[in-house]
Amino acid sequence: MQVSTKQVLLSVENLKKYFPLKIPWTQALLKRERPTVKAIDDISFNIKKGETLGLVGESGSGKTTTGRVIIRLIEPTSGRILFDKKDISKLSKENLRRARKDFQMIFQDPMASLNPYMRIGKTVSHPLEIHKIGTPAERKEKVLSLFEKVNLIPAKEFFNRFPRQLSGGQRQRVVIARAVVTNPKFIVADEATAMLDVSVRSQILKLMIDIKEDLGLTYLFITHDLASAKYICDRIAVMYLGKIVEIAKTSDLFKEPLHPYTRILMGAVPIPDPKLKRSKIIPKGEIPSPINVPSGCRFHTRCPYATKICSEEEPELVEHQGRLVACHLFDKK
Amino acid sequence: MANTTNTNYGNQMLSSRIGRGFRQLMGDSSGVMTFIGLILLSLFVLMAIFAPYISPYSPVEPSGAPLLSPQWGHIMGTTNLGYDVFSRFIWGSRMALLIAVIATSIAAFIGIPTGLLVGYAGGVTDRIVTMIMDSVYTFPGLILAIAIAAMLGPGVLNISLSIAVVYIPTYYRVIRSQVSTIKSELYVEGARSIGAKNMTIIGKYILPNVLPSTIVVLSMNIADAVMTEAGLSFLGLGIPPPVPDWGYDLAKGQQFLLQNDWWMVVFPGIAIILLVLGFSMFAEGMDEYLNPNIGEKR
Amino acid sequence: MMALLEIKNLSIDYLTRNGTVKAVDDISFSVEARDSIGLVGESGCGKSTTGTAILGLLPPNARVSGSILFKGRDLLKISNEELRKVRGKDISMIFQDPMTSLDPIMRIRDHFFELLRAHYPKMDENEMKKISSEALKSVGIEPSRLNNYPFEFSGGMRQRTMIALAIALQPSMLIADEPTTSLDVVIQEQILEVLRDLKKTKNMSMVLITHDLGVVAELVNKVVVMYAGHLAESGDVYSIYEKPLHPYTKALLESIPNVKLEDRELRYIPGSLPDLKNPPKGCRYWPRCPYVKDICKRETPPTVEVDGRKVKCWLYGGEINAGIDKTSSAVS
Ligand SMILES: Nc1ncnc2c1ncn2[C@@H]1O[C@H](COP(=O)(O)OP(=O)(O)OP(=O)(O)O)[C@@H](O)[C@H]1O
Ligand SMILES: Nc1ncnc2c1ncn2[C@@H]1O[C@H](COP(=O)(O)OP(=O)(O)OP(=O)(O)O)[C@@H](O)[C@H]1O
Ligand SMILES: [Mg+2]
Ligand SMILES: [Mg+2]
Repeated sequence: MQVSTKQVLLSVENLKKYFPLKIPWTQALLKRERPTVKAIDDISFNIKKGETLGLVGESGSGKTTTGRVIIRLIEPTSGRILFDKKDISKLSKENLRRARKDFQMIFQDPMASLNPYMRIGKTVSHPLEIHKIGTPAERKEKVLSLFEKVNLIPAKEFFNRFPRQLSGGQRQRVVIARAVVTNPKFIVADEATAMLDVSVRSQILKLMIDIKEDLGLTYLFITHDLASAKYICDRIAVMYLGKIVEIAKTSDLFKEPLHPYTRILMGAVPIPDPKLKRSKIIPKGEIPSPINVPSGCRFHTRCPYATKICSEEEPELVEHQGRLVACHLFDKK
Repeated sequence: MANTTNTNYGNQMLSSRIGRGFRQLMGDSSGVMTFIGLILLSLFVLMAIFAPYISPYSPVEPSGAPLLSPQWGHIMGTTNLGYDVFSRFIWGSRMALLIAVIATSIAAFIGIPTGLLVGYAGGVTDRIVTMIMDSVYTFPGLILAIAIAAMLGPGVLNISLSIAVVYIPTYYRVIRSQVSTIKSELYVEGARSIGAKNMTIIGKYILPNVLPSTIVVLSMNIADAVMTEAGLSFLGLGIPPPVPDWGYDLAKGQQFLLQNDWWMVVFPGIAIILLVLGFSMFAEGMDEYLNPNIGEKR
Repeated sequence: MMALLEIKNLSIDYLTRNGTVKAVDDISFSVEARDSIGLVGESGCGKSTTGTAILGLLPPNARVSGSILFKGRDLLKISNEELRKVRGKDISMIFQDPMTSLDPIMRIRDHFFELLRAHYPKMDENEMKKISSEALKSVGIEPSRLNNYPFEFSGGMRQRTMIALAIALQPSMLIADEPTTSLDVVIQEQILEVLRDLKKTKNMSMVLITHDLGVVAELVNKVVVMYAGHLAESGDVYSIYEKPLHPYTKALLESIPNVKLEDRELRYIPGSLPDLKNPPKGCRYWPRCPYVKDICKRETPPTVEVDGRKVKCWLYGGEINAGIDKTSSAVS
């Protein structure tokens, strides 16, 4: 374990994903360049073996897209994705399909990501079938034991249920079970706990940590819930409008957020005390769109510390006290 | 497993689906509609199956004087050739159902897989096939069927074929449009993420989700096919006489309407209307009930 | 004065093949004009069921009793046609599931147009465009994205679209079912601001269904705590957070994770929600309650008033008046 923690499992280099925007063809004729949604715009990071990297950020900032591109559910516009030193973005269709058992995704919405007409036992054993692992009896055995592990008890009864016959928390556990059934090395967990109430959420987070330790997993944990991120992540990357603005160790980030957006994010967490109503710094200004990205630093339109240079020059992700941050406040120049 | 506290809903003998269906039949008014549709259909199906036993006379031999009005012995009267109208009414259900079922099966057999494959593939193939299907679809159905039937000549299979061509686009369109939305559902993406092959995705993740609406289209189409078949026979393009066929009888009877011999028209007409009604009511009701979101959490 | 919305003895059962789910059992509360009520409780306790019942949108296997008076009219008694007119215009609802509540084959703009046309058949296209753009802008989405299909939106953007749809007609009452679950805190704050604003300028009242007690503290003035279909406790937000009466409310408040604190421990209420087909006899919370007594297992507690609050627990009212240790308050 000690040795392998140093090893990089996934490394993402200059990844971009632009979606072409649909416009009426009358307008399309007039414009020379087709407008695009710059969902992710040149991001780089890596994840070590056994590590959990959190990806937090604004709604629509490209977190889900990052997850989907990394496991190549959609094709990147450009950039490299090295998984175990192999470039996933260059794998052929068939090789990619075979490699899929090594990296899995837990999708944002547990109900929508389960086939409504497939019993959950089948849903969970299907990846094994696809990758021709084990005999039918072994597969069933494995699924049942997994159900017990994720606390879907009695496992035999759950095996034959349909998704709609489960509560939100139970569905979430099914999705987790499906993701780990092939013993993958890497899992992208997209808002795995968003729809759950605090009590169930804590149980699921504990479960995810247990499974991770059992199977030696690595997670990319996408969330907007800072409390969950704080609990489960080793490091956290903060995204804003398609860019990573800060990466730091979880404890550092919570102790002293550097980037102004991170600070605002930390400050906006609702405090469960009605007497403290409204005492936050909330950025003024409209949320800029990923179609017309602001010049210079993307956050300058809403940043309380913005200066002239911010609207002109895009800050790079640079090291500052052993952490990475993209902001002119910390740029040495 | 089953909870015994509730005798009304617990421990049902019927399979879950049917059980749920029946419960809904009792519930709101759409259930009543399905139920009536179902009864009508069963009546016609039973009539078709047991025609030899329940029809009082042979439908293809004179059994009395020509053009008798409804009376004891011939409750629906007789035709101009002295055939018993009631017997032809009963035997006619065979032909109507047979052709409707064959035609819809052919249409479904071609339309559904095409819709699935093309909808899933998308892109240029999609655009071309859809254009062809749409042009067939926008063509008036009966006219198209007439043209093809005229080309192929009479006979059960030929008639079925010419009706089928009219309905292939219906399946195609319904399936394709559903597939293209289901394709972007998260669970299909989930299937891709576990490394499922395209054929597996189509067969196990997409097909089950479009099947319910196919059943609805199926029963609606059968209704349509019954009418189209009657229409073809009416125009003399259908099954050659004396095989009992409502459309043909309707056409024949029409000639005698002027002399007030209404029964030759009215009874085959009623048969067609009831059968069509039966299928459509059934289809409507099924639509309501098969929709997976109804009766579940929204 | 008559309350804007008054729910009296509402009970809702779901009939299923294996028995009856008693999702909501005899709950009563009222919403005055400009009130905002927070309906809180664990997953599966019947919050959405209550919210959906107000709009008469329960699935066919639901059986409702009691009354829901809106401006004096019982919504459970009026015709479907009348109810349809109430929906969207007088009362509108943000549904919990943003992924499945938007029609995948309709563009975002068509969702707005359909809504507007249903209530104002004569409205012209430009007017409709204006209203939809405004609504979308207020939740932080650029109007140029009206032409997108739902699958082209991120999870949070879909949820914001649902919110925009619900407030487009400026209803006098909004039922918001988990409106901000997929949103980051900054945008959440922005949306809470929009809602506060509507409350102030348009006198909108609100029922906020959520499991996020932080959001509740920010937005509402009254809280209704539900547990397994029962109303555990209701009252004004300050006193409930300060001094929860029901043991469940107390446990709920204590399980809120706090990002400000150093410790990384996650607390939760041990045990799980009972099976609503076979709820425990007596108080439904007793299997998880640290203060459980014999009577709790035998009889359902009555709802009593304590300090202007309603609470359904044997610790209060009647001759037994021990109370839970009142010194400990919510996590600060
Ligand atoms: N298939 C698509 N076509 C067009 N645009 C898309 C598509 N998928 C995502 N986008 C756009 O890309 C941007 C980023 O979306 P993404 O889903 O990655 O956001 P996110 O960070 O996951 O947000 P959330 O927290 O709300 O889920 C959004 O503006 C979204 O509308
Ligand atoms: N259509 C249905 N048929 C049968 N049971 C149902 C149906 N809809 C909901 N239920 C059950 O009723 C109970 C209450 O459900 P409801 O959706 O109101 O919970 P909730 O409080 O909104 O939970 P969550 O926070 O998870 O959304 C649950 O136990 C649920 O399983
Ligand atoms: Mg997302
Ligand atoms: Mg709910």
